Amino acid sequence: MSTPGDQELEQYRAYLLRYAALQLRDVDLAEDVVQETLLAALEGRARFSGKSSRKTWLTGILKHKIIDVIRRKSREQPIVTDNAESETAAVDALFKADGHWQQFPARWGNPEKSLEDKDFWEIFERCSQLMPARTARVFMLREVMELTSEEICKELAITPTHLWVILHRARLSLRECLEVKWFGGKK
Amino acid sequence: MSRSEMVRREEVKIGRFKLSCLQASALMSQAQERALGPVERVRLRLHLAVCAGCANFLRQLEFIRAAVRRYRDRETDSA
Repeated sequence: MSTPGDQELEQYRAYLLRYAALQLRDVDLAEDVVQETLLAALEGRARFSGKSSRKTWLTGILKHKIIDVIRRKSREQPIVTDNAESETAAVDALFKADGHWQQFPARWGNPEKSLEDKDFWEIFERCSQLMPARTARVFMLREVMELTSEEICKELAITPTHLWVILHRARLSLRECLEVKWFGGKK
Repeated sequence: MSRSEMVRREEVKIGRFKLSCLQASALMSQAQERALGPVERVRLRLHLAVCAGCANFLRQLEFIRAAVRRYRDRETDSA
């Protein structure tokens, strides 16, 4: 079993960058985090047991560093303040005061078909960019990194209720955008 | 109380027996993170039985979860 050298780890940089950028919504932050990851991997390479693949091992280190960044950022500026007002207003506008939908969610037919359509993914990308960065990071922690509720609440020191409101709003805005920009026309 | 505040409170309080669509949507979203209790499940099922919009929403939530994970895999797979 060989310990990974510089070059062997470098080949994963592009992949790590894509993962970090997706999670952090910030290319500069992503680059920093990937750099730290590769350094940590180099320093710790003697400890690489070879049980998992190198990619899995590196991704594990990366995930921890991503969580560190998100935790740090959420303490610097509490989650509530980032674009909270405009996001709140946008989501509130989806419902009437009596709690009914302003516009009932339409049938999307067989949406799985769209997953094979390149045009769909462009729309999807654009819709996910609509979320404020902090909402997106929390949403991604749950949906991309697949942390549990408990783990996210512990890392970010927020209550489950607060987390659920964030996730609910993220889903409402994403759903709304996808319906308007893609599925709306299909019946 | 501002309208925003009212909406926010509705999101987290499941007080009355009949769910509004806002409350139902919040419950369906929470179901993606935790198991709903028996009373919650009954109330949600009752609402879904009479509300096609929310029934569509439920399916769309499941699709969105699958789509985000596929998006992640597409974005991170080596080109």
